[in-house]
Amino acid sequence: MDQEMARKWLSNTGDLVVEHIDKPNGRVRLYYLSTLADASIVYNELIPKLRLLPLETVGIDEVEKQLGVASSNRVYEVQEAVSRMIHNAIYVHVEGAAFGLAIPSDGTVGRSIQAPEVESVVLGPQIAFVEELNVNLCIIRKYMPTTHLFHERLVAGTEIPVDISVLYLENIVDPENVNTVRQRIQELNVDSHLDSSILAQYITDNERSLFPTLQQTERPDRVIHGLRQGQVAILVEGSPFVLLGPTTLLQFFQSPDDYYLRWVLATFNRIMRMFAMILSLLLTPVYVATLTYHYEMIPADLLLSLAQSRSRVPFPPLWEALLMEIIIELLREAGARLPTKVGQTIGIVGGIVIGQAIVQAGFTSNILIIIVALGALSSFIAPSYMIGSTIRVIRFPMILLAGLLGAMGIVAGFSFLASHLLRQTSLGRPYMYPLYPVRFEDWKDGFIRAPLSSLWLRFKFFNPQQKKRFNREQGQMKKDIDE
Amino acid sequence: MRTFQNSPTGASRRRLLKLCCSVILLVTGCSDRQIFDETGLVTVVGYDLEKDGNIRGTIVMPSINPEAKEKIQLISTVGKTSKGIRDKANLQSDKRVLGGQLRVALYNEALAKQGLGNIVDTLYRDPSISSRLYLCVYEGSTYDLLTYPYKELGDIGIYMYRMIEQNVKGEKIPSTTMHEFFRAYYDHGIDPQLPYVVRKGNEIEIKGVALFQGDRYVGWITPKEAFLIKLIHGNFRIGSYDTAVPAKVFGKYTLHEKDRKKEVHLVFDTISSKSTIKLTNASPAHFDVSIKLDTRILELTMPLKVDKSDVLQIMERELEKELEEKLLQVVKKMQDMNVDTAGFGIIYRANRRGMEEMTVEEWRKMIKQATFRFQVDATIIRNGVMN
Amino acid sequence: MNINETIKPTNTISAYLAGFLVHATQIGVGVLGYQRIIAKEAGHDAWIAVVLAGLATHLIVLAMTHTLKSYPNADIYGIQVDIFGKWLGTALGVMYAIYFFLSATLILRTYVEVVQTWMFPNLPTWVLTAIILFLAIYTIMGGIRVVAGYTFFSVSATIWLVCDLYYPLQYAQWEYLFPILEVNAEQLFRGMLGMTLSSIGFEILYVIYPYVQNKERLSRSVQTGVLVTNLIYTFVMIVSLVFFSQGQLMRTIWATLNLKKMVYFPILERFELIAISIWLLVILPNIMVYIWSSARGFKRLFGWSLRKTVVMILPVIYVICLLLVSRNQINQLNDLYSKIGLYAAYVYPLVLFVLVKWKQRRRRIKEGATDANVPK
Repeated sequence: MDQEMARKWLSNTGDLVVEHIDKPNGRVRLYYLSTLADASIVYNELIPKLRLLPLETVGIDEVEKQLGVASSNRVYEVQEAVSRMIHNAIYVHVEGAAFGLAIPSDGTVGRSIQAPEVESVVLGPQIAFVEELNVNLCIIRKYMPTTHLFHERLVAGTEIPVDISVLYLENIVDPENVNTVRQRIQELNVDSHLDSSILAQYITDNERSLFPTLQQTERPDRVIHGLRQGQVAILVEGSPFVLLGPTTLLQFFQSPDDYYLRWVLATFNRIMRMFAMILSLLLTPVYVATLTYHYEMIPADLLLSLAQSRSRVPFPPLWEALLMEIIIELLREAGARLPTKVGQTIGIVGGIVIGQAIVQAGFTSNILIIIVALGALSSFIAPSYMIGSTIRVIRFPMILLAGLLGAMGIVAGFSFLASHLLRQTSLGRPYMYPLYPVRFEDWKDGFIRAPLSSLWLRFKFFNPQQKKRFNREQGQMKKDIDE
Repeated sequence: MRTFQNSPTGASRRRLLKLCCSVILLVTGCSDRQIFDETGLVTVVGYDLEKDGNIRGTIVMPSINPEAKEKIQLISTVGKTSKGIRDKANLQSDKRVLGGQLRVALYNEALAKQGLGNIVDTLYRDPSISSRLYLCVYEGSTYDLLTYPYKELGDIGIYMYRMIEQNVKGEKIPSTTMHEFFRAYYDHGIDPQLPYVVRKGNEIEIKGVALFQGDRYVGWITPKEAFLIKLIHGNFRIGSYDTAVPAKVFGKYTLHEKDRKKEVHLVFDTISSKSTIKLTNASPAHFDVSIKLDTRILELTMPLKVDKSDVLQIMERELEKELEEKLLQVVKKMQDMNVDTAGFGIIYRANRRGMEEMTVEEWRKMIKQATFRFQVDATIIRNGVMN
Repeated sequence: MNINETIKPTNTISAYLAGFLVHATQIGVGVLGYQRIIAKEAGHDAWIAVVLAGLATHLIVLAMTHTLKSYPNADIYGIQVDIFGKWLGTALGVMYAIYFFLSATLILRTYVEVVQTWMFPNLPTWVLTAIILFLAIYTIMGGIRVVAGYTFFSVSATIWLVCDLYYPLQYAQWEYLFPILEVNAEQLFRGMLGMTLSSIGFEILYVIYPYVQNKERLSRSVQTGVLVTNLIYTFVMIVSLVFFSQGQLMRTIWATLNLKKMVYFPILERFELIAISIWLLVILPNIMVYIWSSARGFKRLFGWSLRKTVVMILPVIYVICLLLVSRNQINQLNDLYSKIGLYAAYVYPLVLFVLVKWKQRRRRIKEGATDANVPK
């Protein structure tokens, strides 16, 4: 490979460096991209070692021996050499040789490992994935030292290939799930994509649905837990989020915290979350429905206070509620876009200034403020960011339905939601499991979180090859009292 | 290959979506809204019989206008039907007058004497009106009652609702929801009863219970008599009763010698009772009513040696005697009024076969000729925290 | 046409879901106002009529399961062709499919009527009908599994509505039930006939049977479903009898809703408005299952695709619903439907049972005869 060729293959890039050892146009040359490869290897290791050789006559075999690299680094094609170089490698070329050597080096860009920000927990490891695939794999391997961990590397993207790793425990996982994942990634026919969130949208079962059908997490403990249960993990280069599948709706309401806390606390939290979701979906629509259509339902004790708080509001309840909900959404979006410190200011501005002023101006009733704030708060309880956003969006059609048909509209909305959820699948498996199809044995780690010793079976949903996690007898003491 | 073009099903789905959107848009235009603050929420309605035979309806709605001085808004109109009255009331109001929050309906005595059947029937037929609506009979003109400027009562409708509800829950008066009135009205075996309300200056008071024959008001009885009627046919959980007995029955148990000539007032509360009525003879009907009653002595107007169990037994005997006597009186009173508020007709029908189609005449005749025997078994289970 | 069918395992449903489907299809709009119809005939002994009608239902369902068990994996459409031959069998199948279709229509229209009477007097029929049909078709397009799942959800989300009968029970007048068994047998029987409209729905078993996975458990689960239905009907009937006086009950069209009018919570009054709305979840499985059964009939008889048939059936239901304007028309059609239902769901299954058994015996004798002939 001469310089012209390399430049041509690399689209005449400016950062291509060609090092000639000893003299210009020498027989031994090093090619690398200065922005990617670690230049210190070139100067501290490769060049001094190569200088020891008779450069005029040396063959590639001697170079290989001198550099002490494995035969897996041999490269026969220009195309491959270039592709290795894009992946940080330093290419050693000897004129007239049948092959060259691609010596891997570490990339120079990347952030250090930090604590999780999107899914923070109180107890448990404070470590999150980063953008580099290899680092992420390293984290998983480190915390999961087992020979059964199987790692498959796939490449997707017709124009710009992106590395994708598929991980699973081969003695536990249902091969069918792996096949589905593999097939969907291999059959992808898009030019390129960057992130696991985008990949999730491409390979999900129903792209049009609002509901996520693949879990996305930045927490290694969550991934490890999923792998142990028999889930398949998908890692994408450049994305700190790992995809887990198949999954169920209930799993989006579970947090790794649930396993770190005692089972009663964890169960309480889980039930709270689900209750909060329903509350978040129901509160504002019920307010709208009651005040628009069903004034009969207001009890005598509430009648006068509600009437007084509504008396100065110029809008019908539907518009009033929509206005408040949109204000809350604006605050949320503003808070998410701004830097953290400014974000707090937004909270104060929104919460106190707008909230107070809007009631005093008579734009909305203070009861609605309470309801909307409670609804928003409830939607933020979701341990998964995705499901929280989904719930927030679903609220709007619900409010509209309530404004159009009252209680009837709310029920119709819920009915549609139920049908929709029942029709969803995750990697071809029912999304509403274990509610439907009903499997009571899996409710133990679904609605509630039973004591760990009773979770001796793996989640059946993943169809694991080994059903048991441990033998129940070992987990239980079979002693009599006072024995 | 997974493709990301719109499949034909996608197109049809979009058409469906469009259809839905248009449906929803159309719904906004034609569904019936009753926006809370654009609605006149009638909380109480009063009906009076005018001299010309028309009915005057007076409705009270809470005034939620922050600029208004008065807490309530009053509208009074004259019409032939209750719905006609409502239509006329709309002409006087800036808000749509609706009855969904109606909690109390008042009828004046003259109207009640004429018969409430039709006017209650319209209320019952209207699905927007609650079955738990309280009906009342008012002594004079309900127009005066509702238009009187009360200072302390706030919204008169809510006030009356709470007043009646509180007394019904405390078992001071029998429960008198519209449903119960209607149930009794359509049953040839029991007559309806309603609270009988009067106004004393600034205060509204439940004076007693109005008795009906069918849907016609015939007279009223005191709450005490109403208590007795409920004792005959019904269960108490937290009732109360007070009585007076001559002190001499306690004999040596009185603390002071000089008290022996006076009367002792006894107040019993948390009465729980259970009655069983047996029809021992069919024609003429003879009802054997036995009542088991547990109570607590709450108040004595004279110091007694209550720690002696004999004293409690004497009290029990006196209470039994008193109740049996009063029960016979109240039944006599009902027979005289020719009403069957206690529902002996139901008992009669339940204990005899082939009586399902009992006519009103047969029932009235049966009650007129019926004889009664009461047997009360009272137990004082507690006597407060001190002896 | 094949008499028996093979269903892909991914489309089958568990046996317990068949019980749910039967139960959910039985409970529909009938339960909102069946009390008056039966009490008209059987007076205060109406609950006995309900119990007896329930027992009759158990018996019919038993006959149906036995009929179906005589075939490996057949539904009513296949069995009729087998028994009556191609022409008559197809004709009967079409009639049955039309009957299912009529059921869906009437349930839908009656529910809309209830909503119009109790909640939205000015709501046009076409709006609510369209919304309900949209919800139904969206679920049906997911297949029988989704329909069964929806049914399961709807039953679990609405069964607690029975608990609110605690409130009307506070007003109970237990003497209204006595003397027990005052009516004669004829009145009781007429009361039982009055139950037809409310308790039919179990006949969909004829259609879902091929889809059931573990058929040995089917009978038990379906009988349980019917039992739950009967318990609910009996309980509601008893509560109604002690809550209303007879004269009042005769004037109450939707007695169950009047029962719910007595329910109140500290933050919510007028529970009947909620109940009517939630009732949407109760009637939707009815409509879905009936439409599905009807469409499936056309698929089996003529080989039309299920999707297309459903899309064809919907506009017809829609138009019929719009044509029924007044309460009188709805009531008349409901009476007619009740009579048809009596024959389609109670009498005919017995006839079919006898015919199937007779035919099988004859076939066995024939086979035995041919077997005996073979060695010679």
